[in-house]
Amino acid sequence: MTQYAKTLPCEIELPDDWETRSRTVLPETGYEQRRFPRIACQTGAALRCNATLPAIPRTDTWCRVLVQDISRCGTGFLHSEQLFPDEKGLIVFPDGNQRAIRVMRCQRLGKKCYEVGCQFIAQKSAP
Amino acid sequence: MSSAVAESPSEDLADHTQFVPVAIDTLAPSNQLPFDLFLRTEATSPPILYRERRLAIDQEDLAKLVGQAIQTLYIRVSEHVAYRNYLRETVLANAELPATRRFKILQTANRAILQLAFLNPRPDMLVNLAGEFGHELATIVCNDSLVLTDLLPLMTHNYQTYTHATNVCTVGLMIASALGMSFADGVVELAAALLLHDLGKRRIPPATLNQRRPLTPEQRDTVRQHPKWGFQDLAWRDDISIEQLLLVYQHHEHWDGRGYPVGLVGDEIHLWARICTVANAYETLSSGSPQCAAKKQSEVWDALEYGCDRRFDRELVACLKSVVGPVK
Repeated sequence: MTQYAKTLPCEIELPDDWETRSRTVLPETGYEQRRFPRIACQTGAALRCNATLPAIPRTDTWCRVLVQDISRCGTGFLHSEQLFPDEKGLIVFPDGNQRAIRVMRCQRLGKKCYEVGCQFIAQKSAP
Repeated sequence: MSSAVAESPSEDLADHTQFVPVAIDTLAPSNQLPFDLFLRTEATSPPILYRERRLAIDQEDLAKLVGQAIQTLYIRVSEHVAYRNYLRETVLANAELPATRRFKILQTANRAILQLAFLNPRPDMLVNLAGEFGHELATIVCNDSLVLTDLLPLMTHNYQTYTHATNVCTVGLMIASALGMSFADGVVELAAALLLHDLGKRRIPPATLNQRRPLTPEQRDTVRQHPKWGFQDLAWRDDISIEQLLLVYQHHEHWDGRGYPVGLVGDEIHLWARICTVANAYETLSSGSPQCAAKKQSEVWDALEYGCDRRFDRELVACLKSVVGPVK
Protein backbone atom coordinates (compact mmCIF):
# COMPACT_ATOMS: atom_id res chain seq x y z
CA MET A 1 0.00 0.00 0.00
CA THR A 2 2.85 2.38 0.86
CA GLN A 3 4.39 1.99 -2.60
CA TYR A 4 0.96 2.16 -4.22
CA ALA A 5 0.24 5.46 -2.43
CA LYS A 6 3.27 7.02 -4.10
CA THR A 7 1.89 6.20 -7.52
CA LEU A 8 -1.44 7.91 -6.93
CA PRO A 9 -1.83 11.17 -8.84
CA CYS A 10 -1.82 14.30 -6.73
CA GLU A 11 -4.44 16.72 -8.01
CA ILE A 12 -3.99 19.36 -5.33
CA GLU A 13 -3.25 22.86 -6.65
CA LEU A 14 -1.46 24.79 -3.93
CA PRO A 15 -2.37 28.49 -3.83
CA ASP A 16 0.27 30.94 -5.05
CA ASP A 17 0.84 32.41 -1.61
CA TRP A 18 1.27 29.04 0.02
CA GLU A 19 4.15 29.03 2.48
CA THR A 20 5.76 25.97 3.87
CA ARG A 21 5.06 25.70 7.54
CA SER A 22 8.23 25.43 9.54
CA ARG A 23 6.83 25.20 13.04
CA THR A 24 6.94 21.85 14.73
CA VAL A 25 4.09 22.45 17.17
CA LEU A 26 1.13 24.35 15.80
CA PRO A 27 -0.41 26.96 18.07
CA GLU A 28 -3.99 26.75 19.16
CA THR A 29 -6.12 29.14 17.21
CA GLY A 30 -9.36 30.85 18.13
CA TYR A 31 -11.07 29.30 21.09
CA GLU A 32 -10.34 25.70 20.34
CA GLN A 33 -9.08 23.60 23.19
CA ARG A 34 -7.08 20.68 21.91
CA ARG A 35 -6.37 17.71 24.11
CA PHE A 36 -3.09 16.90 22.36
CA PRO A 37 -0.65 19.17 20.51
CA ARG A 38 -0.53 18.96 16.73
CA ILE A 39 2.87 18.26 15.21
CA ALA A 40 3.50 19.83 11.82
CA CYS A 41 4.69 17.53 9.06
CA GLN A 42 4.84 17.42 5.29
CA THR A 43 4.19 14.07 3.75
CA GLY A 44 1.99 12.35 1.23
CA ALA A 45 -0.62 9.76 2.24
CA ALA A 46 -3.33 7.72 0.56
CA LEU A 47 -6.95 8.44 1.38
CA ARG A 48 -10.09 6.50 0.60
CA CYS A 49 -13.28 8.37 1.38
CA ASN A 50 -16.23 6.04 1.98
CA ALA A 51 -19.84 6.60 1.01
CA THR A 52 -20.97 7.59 4.50
CA LEU A 53 -23.77 10.10 4.00
CA PRO A 54 -26.75 9.06 1.85
CA ALA A 55 -26.86 12.28 -0.20
CA ILE A 56 -23.11 12.62 -0.81
CA PRO A 57 -21.94 10.26 -3.56
CA ARG A 58 -18.46 8.75 -3.12
CA THR A 59 -16.74 6.07 -5.11
CA ASP A 60 -14.43 4.09 -2.90
CA THR A 61 -11.32 5.12 -4.85
CA TRP A 62 -7.95 6.02 -3.42
CA CYS A 63 -6.38 9.43 -3.85
CA ARG A 64 -3.23 11.19 -2.68
CA VAL A 65 -3.39 13.83 0.03
CA LEU A 66 -0.68 15.96 1.67
CA VAL A 67 -0.55 15.54 5.43
CA GLN A 68 0.12 18.84 7.22
CA ASP A 69 -0.12 17.93 10.86
CA ILE A 70 -0.83 15.02 13.11
CA SER A 71 -1.68 14.50 16.76
CA ARG A 72 -2.69 11.58 18.96
CA CYS A 73 -6.35 11.99 18.08
CA GLY A 74 -6.40 13.35 14.55
CA THR A 75 -4.70 14.71 11.47
CA GLY A 76 -4.94 17.59 9.03
CA PHE A 77 -4.23 17.25 5.31
CA LEU A 78 -4.64 19.01 1.99
CA HIS A 79 -7.00 17.47 -0.53
CA SER A 80 -8.08 18.45 -4.03
CA GLU A 81 -11.75 17.89 -3.18
CA GLN A 82 -14.11 19.27 -0.59
CA LEU A 83 -15.02 16.78 2.13
CA PHE A 84 -18.04 17.17 4.39
CA PRO A 85 -18.45 16.93 8.18
CA ASP A 86 -18.99 13.36 9.44
CA GLU A 87 -17.76 11.71 6.24
CA LYS A 88 -15.60 8.71 7.07
CA GLY A 89 -12.64 7.16 5.34
CA LEU A 90 -9.30 5.45 5.69
CA ILE A 91 -5.89 7.15 5.55
CA VAL A 92 -2.64 5.24 4.99
CA PHE A 93 0.57 6.99 6.07
CA PRO A 94 3.96 6.41 4.36
CA ASP A 95 5.09 4.11 7.17
CA GLY A 96 2.17 1.80 6.40
CA ASN A 97 0.18 2.84 9.44
CA GLN A 98 -3.48 3.14 8.55
CA ARG A 99 -6.21 4.89 10.52
CA ALA A 100 -9.93 5.28 10.09
CA ILE A 101 -10.94 8.91 10.11
CA ARG A 102 -14.00 11.11 10.43
CA VAL A 103 -14.05 14.59 8.87
CA MET A 104 -14.48 17.38 11.40
CA ARG A 105 -13.96 20.49 9.25
CA CYS A 106 -12.94 21.53 5.75
CA GLN A 107 -11.61 24.91 4.66
CA ARG A 108 -11.00 26.06 1.09
CA LEU A 109 -7.47 27.36 0.52
CA GLY A 110 -7.73 27.65 -3.26
CA LYS A 111 -9.22 26.02 -6.30
CA LYS A 112 -8.61 22.27 -5.90
CA CYS A 113 -7.03 22.80 -2.49
CA TYR A 114 -8.95 22.14 0.72
CA GLU A 115 -7.55 21.86 4.23
CA VAL A 116 -9.32 19.00 5.97
CA GLY A 117 -9.28 18.33 9.70
CA CYS A 118 -10.06 14.78 10.80
CA GLN A 119 -10.44 12.81 13.95
CA PHE A 120 -9.12 9.26 14.23
CA ILE A 121 -11.87 6.78 14.98
CA ALA A 122 -11.94 3.08 15.77
CA GLN A 123 -11.45 1.02 12.61
CA LYS A 124 -14.77 -0.75 13.08
CA SER A 125 -16.57 2.63 13.03
CA ALA A 126 -15.56 3.18 9.43
CA PRO A 127 -17.94 1.49 6.98
CA MET B 1 -75.16 25.04 19.19
CA SER B 2 -74.32 21.37 18.92
CA SER B 3 -71.03 21.58 20.78
CA ALA B 4 -70.26 20.24 24.17
CA VAL B 5 -68.05 21.85 26.75
CA ALA B 6 -66.39 19.10 28.70
CA GLU B 7 -66.11 19.50 32.44
CA SER B 8 -63.70 16.70 33.19
CA PRO B 9 -60.50 16.85 31.22
CA SER B 10 -58.91 13.55 30.30
CA GLU B 11 -55.37 12.79 31.42
CA ASP B 12 -53.64 14.46 28.53
CA LEU B 13 -55.48 17.70 29.22
CA ALA B 14 -53.38 18.15 32.30
CA ASP B 15 -50.27 18.37 30.15
CA HIS B 16 -50.34 21.77 28.41
CA THR B 17 -47.47 20.85 26.12
CA GLN B 18 -49.75 18.35 24.38
CA PHE B 19 -51.68 21.21 22.75
CA VAL B 20 -50.91 23.74 20.07
CA PRO B 21 -52.85 26.95 19.55
CA VAL B 22 -54.83 27.48 16.34
CA ALA B 23 -56.03 30.94 15.43
CA ILE B 24 -59.77 31.19 14.85
CA ASP B 25 -58.87 33.05 11.64
CA THR B 26 -57.64 29.76 10.20
CA LEU B 27 -60.93 27.94 10.77
CA ALA B 28 -63.74 27.81 8.26
CA PRO B 29 -67.30 26.50 8.69
CA SER B 30 -67.33 22.75 8.33
CA ASN B 31 -69.96 20.01 8.55
CA GLN B 32 -67.60 17.62 10.21
CA LEU B 33 -64.48 18.74 12.04
CA PRO B 34 -61.67 16.17 11.74
CA PHE B 35 -60.19 17.11 15.14
CA ASP B 36 -61.29 18.09 18.65
CA LEU B 37 -61.19 21.80 19.42
CA PHE B 38 -60.36 23.05 22.90
CA LEU B 39 -60.46 26.43 24.55
CA ARG B 40 -58.92 27.95 27.60
CA THR B 41 -60.93 30.16 29.90
CA GLU B 42 -57.74 31.64 31.33
CA ALA B 43 -54.21 31.70 29.99
CA THR B 44 -52.94 29.24 32.58
CA SER B 45 -55.99 27.02 32.87
CA PRO B 46 -56.05 23.57 31.26
CA PRO B 47 -57.80 23.38 27.88
CA ILE B 48 -61.40 22.20 27.94
CA LEU B 49 -63.17 20.52 25.08
CA TYR B 50 -65.11 23.04 23.02
CA ARG B 51 -66.14 21.06 19.95
CA GLU B 52 -65.78 17.34 19.48
CA ARG B 53 -64.49 15.99 16.19
CA ARG B 54 -67.09 14.91 13.63
CA LEU B 55 -69.42 17.68 14.82
CA ALA B 56 -70.16 20.73 12.68
CA ILE B 57 -68.94 24.25 13.21
CA ASP B 58 -70.65 27.11 11.44
CA GLN B 59 -69.99 30.77 10.82
CA GLU B 60 -72.23 31.75 13.72
CA ASP B 61 -70.14 29.68 16.16
CA LEU B 62 -66.95 31.29 14.96
CA ALA B 63 -68.45 34.78 15.14
CA LYS B 64 -69.67 34.09 18.67
CA LEU B 65 -66.15 33.14 19.80
CA VAL B 66 -64.69 36.27 18.25
CA GLY B 67 -67.48 38.27 19.94
CA GLN B 68 -66.31 36.83 23.26
CA ALA B 69 -62.77 38.07 22.49
CA ILE B 70 -61.55 34.49 21.97
CA GLN B 71 -58.99 34.53 19.15
CA THR B 72 -57.32 31.20 19.79
CA LEU B 73 -58.49 27.63 20.21
CA TYR B 74 -56.32 24.58 20.77
CA ILE B 75 -55.87 21.19 19.20
CA ARG B 76 -53.97 18.17 20.42
CA VAL B 77 -50.42 17.96 19.04
CA SER B 78 -51.29 14.44 17.93
CA GLU B 79 -54.04 15.87 15.69
CA HIS B 80 -51.97 18.50 13.94
CA VAL B 81 -51.80 16.37 10.78
CA ALA B 82 -55.62 16.27 10.67
CA TYR B 83 -55.65 20.04 11.16
CA ARG B 84 -53.17 20.53 8.31
CA ASN B 85 -55.23 18.32 5.99
CA TYR B 86 -58.36 20.25 6.94
CA LEU B 87 -56.56 23.52 6.17
CA ARG B 88 -55.42 22.20 2.82
CA GLU B 89 -58.88 20.99 1.82
CA THR B 90 -61.11 23.74 3.16
CA VAL B 91 -58.97 26.85 3.14
CA LEU B 92 -55.92 26.57 0.90
CA ALA B 93 -57.80 24.89 -1.94
CA ASN B 94 -60.45 27.60 -1.86
CA ALA B 95 -59.66 29.59 -5.01
CA GLU B 96 -62.21 32.20 -4.03
CA LEU B 97 -59.99 33.31 -1.17
CA PRO B 98 -57.35 35.84 -2.32
CA ALA B 99 -53.83 34.38 -2.40
CA THR B 100 -52.66 36.92 0.17
CA ARG B 101 -55.38 35.71 2.56
CA ARG B 102 -54.40 32.07 2.01
CA PHE B 103 -50.76 32.99 2.63
CA LYS B 104 -51.64 34.71 5.89
CA ILE B 105 -53.74 31.76 7.06
CA LEU B 106 -50.95 29.36 6.21
CA GLN B 107 -48.39 31.45 8.07
CA THR B 108 -50.62 31.80 11.12
CA ALA B 109 -51.54 28.13 11.12
CA ASN B 110 -47.92 27.01 11.02
CA ARG B 111 -46.43 29.37 13.53
CA ALA B 112 -47.28 27.41 16.66
CA ILE B 113 -46.45 23.99 15.29
CA LEU B 114 -43.16 25.22 13.80
CA GLN B 115 -42.27 26.74 17.15
CA LEU B 116 -42.93 23.41 18.78
CA ALA B 117 -40.89 21.57 16.17
CA PHE B 118 -37.91 23.92 16.60
CA LEU B 119 -37.93 23.15 20.32
CA ASN B 120 -37.93 19.41 19.73
CA PRO B 121 -34.41 18.00 20.11
CA ARG B 122 -35.00 15.50 17.27
CA PRO B 123 -35.25 17.04 13.80
CA ASP B 124 -37.78 14.50 12.42
CA MET B 125 -40.89 16.55 13.17
CA LEU B 126 -39.31 19.67 11.71
CA VAL B 127 -38.17 17.90 8.55
CA ASN B 128 -41.65 16.46 7.98
CA LEU B 129 -43.30 19.80 8.64
CA ALA B 130 -40.85 21.60 6.37
CA GLY B 131 -41.80 19.21 3.57
CA GLU B 132 -45.54 19.84 3.97
CA PHE B 133 -45.36 23.54 4.75
CA GLY B 134 -42.81 24.05 1.97
CA HIS B 135 -45.16 22.44 -0.51
CA GLU B 136 -48.05 24.66 0.56
CA LEU B 137 -45.97 27.84 0.54
CA ALA B 138 -44.51 26.98 -2.86
CA THR B 139 -48.00 26.37 -4.22
CA ILE B 140 -49.22 29.80 -3.15
CA VAL B 141 -46.09 31.80 -3.90
CA CYS B 142 -45.25 30.24 -7.26
CA ASN B 143 -48.73 29.56 -8.66
CA ASP B 144 -50.29 32.92 -7.92
CA SER B 145 -48.98 36.06 -9.51
CA LEU B 146 -47.90 37.60 -6.24
CA VAL B 147 -45.08 40.06 -5.81
CA LEU B 148 -43.21 40.45 -2.59
CA THR B 149 -44.82 43.83 -1.93
CA ASP B 150 -48.15 41.96 -1.59
CA LEU B 151 -46.69 39.67 1.04
CA LEU B 152 -44.39 42.01 2.97
CA PRO B 153 -47.17 43.57 5.05
CA LEU B 154 -48.44 40.09 5.90
CA MET B 155 -45.15 38.78 7.21
CA THR B 156 -44.71 38.73 10.93
CA HIS B 157 -41.48 40.53 11.67
CA ASN B 158 -39.70 39.33 14.73
CA TYR B 159 -36.49 37.43 15.05
CA GLN B 160 -37.86 34.19 16.40
CA THR B 161 -36.32 31.36 14.44
CA TYR B 162 -39.57 29.92 13.06
CA THR B 163 -40.83 33.31 11.91
CA HIS B 164 -37.49 34.06 10.30
CA ALA B 165 -37.52 30.66 8.59
CA THR B 166 -40.98 31.26 7.11
CA ASN B 167 -40.02 34.70 5.84
CA VAL B 168 -36.73 33.50 4.33
CA CYS B 169 -38.64 30.69 2.63
CA THR B 170 -41.15 33.15 1.15
CA VAL B 171 -38.45 35.52 -0.12
CA GLY B 172 -36.35 32.63 -1.44
CA LEU B 173 -39.33 31.23 -3.35
CA MET B 174 -39.88 34.66 -4.88
CA ILE B 175 -36.29 34.68 -6.14
CA ALA B 176 -36.65 31.13 -7.46
CA SER B 177 -39.86 32.07 -9.22
CA ALA B 178 -38.17 35.08 -10.84
CA LEU B 179 -35.36 32.77 -11.97
CA GLY B 180 -37.98 30.65 -13.72
CA MET B 181 -37.70 27.68 -11.36
CA SER B 182 -40.80 25.49 -11.39
CA PHE B 183 -42.12 22.48 -9.51
CA ALA B 184 -40.21 20.30 -11.97
CA ASP B 185 -36.99 22.03 -10.92
CA GLY B 186 -37.57 21.05 -7.30
CA VAL B 187 -39.08 24.24 -5.98
CA VAL B 188 -40.93 22.29 -3.25
CA GLU B 189 -37.66 20.75 -2.05
CA LEU B 190 -36.09 24.20 -2.17
CA ALA B 191 -38.92 25.54 0.02
CA ALA B 192 -38.38 22.78 2.57
CA ALA B 193 -34.63 23.45 2.66
CA LEU B 194 -35.21 27.19 3.08
CA LEU B 195 -37.42 26.42 6.09
CA LEU B 196 -34.66 24.24 7.53
CA HIS B 197 -31.71 26.53 6.78
CA ASP B 198 -31.17 27.55 10.42
CA LEU B 199 -31.80 24.11 11.87
CA GLY B 200 -28.33 24.15 13.47
CA LYS B 201 -29.27 27.18 15.58
CA ARG B 202 -31.21 24.84 17.83
CA ARG B 203 -27.86 23.93 19.38
CA ILE B 204 -27.09 27.57 20.23
CA PRO B 205 -28.23 28.76 23.68
CA PRO B 206 -31.32 31.03 23.31
CA ALA B 207 -29.57 33.59 25.52
CA THR B 208 -26.90 33.96 22.83
CA LEU B 209 -29.40 34.16 19.97
CA ASN B 210 -31.48 36.80 21.75
CA GLN B 211 -28.60 38.80 23.20
CA ARG B 212 -28.92 42.52 22.45
CA ARG B 213 -25.32 43.52 23.12
CA PRO B 214 -22.65 42.52 20.57
CA LEU B 215 -21.59 38.88 20.69
CA THR B 216 -18.27 38.00 22.30
CA PRO B 217 -15.66 36.29 20.08
CA GLU B 218 -16.50 32.97 21.76
CA GLN B 219 -20.24 33.45 21.11
CA ARG B 220 -19.56 34.45 17.52
CA ASP B 221 -17.49 31.31 17.12
CA THR B 222 -20.42 29.25 18.43
CA VAL B 223 -22.96 30.95 16.14
CA ARG B 224 -20.70 30.31 13.14
CA GLN B 225 -21.00 26.58 13.78
CA HIS B 226 -24.71 26.50 12.97
CA PRO B 227 -24.45 25.69 9.21
CA LYS B 228 -22.23 22.72 10.09
CA TRP B 229 -24.54 21.57 12.88
CA GLY B 230 -27.57 21.85 10.61
CA PHE B 231 -25.74 19.78 7.99
CA GLN B 232 -24.80 17.15 10.58
CA ASP B 233 -28.39 16.93 11.85
CA LEU B 234 -29.70 16.24 8.34
CA ALA B 235 -26.87 14.47 6.52
CA TRP B 236 -27.60 10.98 7.85
CA ARG B 237 -31.19 11.06 6.53
CA ASP B 238 -32.11 9.38 3.27
CA ASP B 239 -35.05 11.74 2.61
CA ILE B 240 -32.82 14.80 2.14
CA SER B 241 -31.27 15.63 -1.24
CA ILE B 242 -27.74 16.90 -1.79
CA GLU B 243 -29.15 20.27 -2.95
CA GLN B 244 -31.03 20.65 0.33
CA LEU B 245 -27.97 19.68 2.36
CA LEU B 246 -25.78 22.15 0.49
CA LEU B 247 -28.28 24.95 1.08
CA VAL B 248 -28.15 24.33 4.83
CA TYR B 249 -24.34 23.97 4.85
CA GLN B 250 -23.43 26.83 2.52
CA HIS B 251 -25.94 29.58 3.27
CA HIS B 252 -23.29 31.73 4.99
CA GLU B 253 -20.72 31.37 2.21
CA HIS B 254 -19.92 34.64 0.44
CA TRP B 255 -19.49 35.16 -3.29
CA ASP B 256 -15.94 36.54 -2.69
CA GLY B 257 -14.85 33.55 -0.57
CA ARG B 258 -14.95 35.31 2.80
CA GLY B 259 -17.89 33.37 4.17
CA TYR B 260 -18.02 30.25 6.30
CA PRO B 261 -17.77 27.34 6.99
CA VAL B 262 -15.61 26.46 3.95
CA GLY B 263 -14.81 29.75 2.20
CA LEU B 264 -16.15 28.69 -1.20
CA VAL B 265 -16.03 31.19 -4.06
CA GLY B 266 -18.64 32.26 -6.66
CA ASP B 267 -20.52 29.43 -8.29
CA GLU B 268 -18.69 26.83 -6.21
CA ILE B 269 -21.53 27.72 -3.83
CA HIS B 270 -24.68 25.85 -4.82
CA LEU B 271 -27.38 27.99 -6.45
CA TRP B 272 -29.90 27.09 -3.73
CA ALA B 273 -27.48 28.26 -1.03
CA ARG B 274 -26.88 31.51 -2.95
CA ILE B 275 -30.65 32.06 -3.10
CA CYS B 276 -30.86 31.47 0.64
CA THR B 277 -27.99 33.90 1.33
CA VAL B 278 -29.78 36.74 -0.46
CA ALA B 279 -33.19 35.88 1.06
CA ASN B 280 -31.63 35.58 4.52
CA ALA B 281 -29.92 38.95 4.28
CA TYR B 282 -33.03 40.66 2.91
CA GLU B 283 -35.23 39.22 5.65
CA THR B 284 -32.74 39.91 8.47
CA LEU B 285 -32.20 43.51 7.39
CA SER B 286 -35.96 44.07 6.96
CA SER B 287 -37.02 42.43 10.21
CA GLY B 288 -34.03 43.36 12.32
CA SER B 289 -32.23 41.12 14.77
CA PRO B 290 -31.52 41.37 18.49
CA GLN B 291 -28.24 43.15 17.70
CA CYS B 292 -29.49 45.35 14.87
CA ALA B 293 -32.72 47.30 14.40
CA ALA B 294 -34.87 46.78 11.31
CA LYS B 295 -33.87 48.98 8.37
CA LYS B 296 -35.98 50.96 5.93
CA GLN B 297 -36.45 49.35 2.53
CA SER B 298 -34.16 51.92 0.88
CA GLU B 299 -31.41 51.05 3.39
CA VAL B 300 -32.00 47.34 2.86
CA TRP B 301 -31.44 47.83 -0.87
CA ASP B 302 -28.33 49.93 -0.31
CA ALA B 303 -26.91 47.08 1.77
CA LEU B 304 -27.82 44.44 -0.81
CA GLU B 305 -26.37 46.51 -3.66
CA TYR B 306 -23.16 47.02 -1.69
CA GLY B 307 -22.97 43.29 -1.07
CA CYS B 308 -23.18 42.35 -4.77
CA ASP B 309 -20.03 40.45 -5.80
CA ARG B 310 -18.93 40.54 -2.17
CA ARG B 311 -21.50 38.53 -0.24
CA PHE B 312 -24.13 38.01 -2.90
CA ASP B 313 -24.59 36.70 -6.40
CA ARG B 314 -25.43 39.91 -8.30
CA GLU B 315 -27.91 38.12 -10.57
CA LEU B 316 -29.97 36.90 -7.62
CA VAL B 317 -30.11 40.36 -6.05
CA ALA B 318 -31.42 41.65 -9.39
CA CYS B 319 -34.02 38.84 -9.40
CA LEU B 320 -35.19 39.80 -5.93
CA LYS B 321 -35.37 43.43 -6.95
CA SER B 322 -37.54 42.50 -9.93
CA VAL B 323 -40.15 40.90 -7.66
CA VAL B 324 -40.09 43.40 -4.82
CA GLY B 325 -41.42 46.25 -6.90
CA PRO B 326 -40.66 49.93 -6.35
CA VAL B 327 -38.68 50.69 -3.21
CA LYS B 328 -40.51 52.97 -0.79
